[in-house]
Amino acid sequence: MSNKKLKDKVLKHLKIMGWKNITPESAPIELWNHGENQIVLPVDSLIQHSQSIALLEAAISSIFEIDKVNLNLEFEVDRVSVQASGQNIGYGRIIYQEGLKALSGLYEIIKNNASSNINIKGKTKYVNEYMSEVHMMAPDSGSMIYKAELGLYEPQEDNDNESFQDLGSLGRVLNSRCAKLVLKAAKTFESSREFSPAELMHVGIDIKFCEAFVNLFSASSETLRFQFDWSPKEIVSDDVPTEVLFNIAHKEAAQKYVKAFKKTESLSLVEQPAIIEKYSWPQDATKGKVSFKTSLDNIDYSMTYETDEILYLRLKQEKVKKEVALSGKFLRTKNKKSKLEILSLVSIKIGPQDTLDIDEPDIDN
Amino acid sequence: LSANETHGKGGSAVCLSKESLSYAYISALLAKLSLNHNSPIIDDQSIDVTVYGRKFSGVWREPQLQLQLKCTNKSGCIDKKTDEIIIDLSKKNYDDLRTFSPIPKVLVVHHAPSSQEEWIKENTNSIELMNMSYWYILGGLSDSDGGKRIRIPLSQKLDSDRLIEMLKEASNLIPLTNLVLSNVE
Repeated sequence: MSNKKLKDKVLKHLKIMGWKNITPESAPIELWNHGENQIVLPVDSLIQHSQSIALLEAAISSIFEIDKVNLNLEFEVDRVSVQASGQNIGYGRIIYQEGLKALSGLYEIIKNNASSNINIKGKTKYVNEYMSEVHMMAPDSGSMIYKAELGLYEPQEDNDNESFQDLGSLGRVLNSRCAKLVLKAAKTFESSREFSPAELMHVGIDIKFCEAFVNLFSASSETLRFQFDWSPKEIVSDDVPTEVLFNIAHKEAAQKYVKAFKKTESLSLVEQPAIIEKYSWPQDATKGKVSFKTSLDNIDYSMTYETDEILYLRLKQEKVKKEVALSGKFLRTKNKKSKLEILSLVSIKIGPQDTLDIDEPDIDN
Repeated sequence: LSANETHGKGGSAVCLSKESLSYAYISALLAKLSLNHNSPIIDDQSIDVTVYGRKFSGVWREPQLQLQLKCTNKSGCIDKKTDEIIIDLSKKNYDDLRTFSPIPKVLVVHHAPSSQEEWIKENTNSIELMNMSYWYILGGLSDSDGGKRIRIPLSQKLDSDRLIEMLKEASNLIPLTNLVLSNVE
């Protein structure tokens, strides 16, 4: 490993563990302090100097002694750590109840992610096997750091299932999707736009995720830092994050969405009568919109369904006001302004002998 | 035995014994100051001893110095007119010591009596290590086509006070400099 990579590895660790860089300007070395301890690194401009490797090796040795972390190990599993920081969080010390809830929150995020991403025969078995390779690690100090090892799980009796084979181990697929979901949540929660529960579900954020996130972001926390360390055993794509940051505003958004979700109910409807109300394809959009009108429990609803070009053009052959029947998953919001939204459609029946089957992924990954 | 002899009484080369003398001088100072040190197994970077301070009050709490030890007992190595000790360095040593480095590097030249018999004076209750080591900073000196002759002012004696001062300067990240500006031929 080059000196630069070795230094990057050390720096990543020091930052996670809350070491402070106290290097004065134009110094020939970098100084990182943590309480009484100090670690010395070569500055970037002298990283190739013959003395630098000895400084880096000494730093790794000190980290092993002080933080009990062996940076020389090439790890064979993915790792996630979540650092909760805040004025009321001590050095590796948090209110017991909050710590337990936070740990459960992290567990739920990992488990729900696996559950919602495996949609093949034997789902329960695969989820259980994956979870048996997820290990809780002892929390670390440096604020409060919750850690888990996410195994690179490979199904042992996977004779017929080729669903994940091109993507690496099933474990890596799930682990990277978990990281992408966390990143998506950060972007969604910080958006000024308010999303409907159905829109959130379309990007994989459901009430379970929001609740687990709120539990993880305990009352004493002011920030959460997710850190993903990807095992070099498998290639990780560029769009998979290594770090995601959250602040109180993200938590407040998640709490607001939990309330919104609680006013909804998920419905599976078969051949729900509806009328095509409108077709539209917004400028520069990649999907067309088809509006339907339907009536459920004596209440009229307007719903919009986004679809690709092929289905959009096929549906457009049918005239507006045409009666159809929709089968799929719907979300009904029960507040002052009751709303019915389409989560996913399985089929649209456009005539007695004419049904359009829709192969739609459950969530957008 | 004099500077012209190649091997000492024990049979080893005098040039190796000079290294031992130089090292003994430094070891004595380190012992007096309670400083830790280690030596590289292979000196391929012109470093013989790394000195470690502990619990210093500067920003670098455990400052280090790297010392290149040399020893000379050549006749004429002391220029009495200019009060300087003269040492010739190989190009490699010169380049290693003059380039900017994370840890400060110091050239230490021990001046030994020309006769090996006189290196140590053995008294009834003590021994005396002869003569004196001198220090020099080459950091920032210009490039050279070949080896270099370094002239070190005799005022730059390496004693325990100076060694501890250098570590204090390193602890405060103050670049080490010579007391009198360089004399390089």
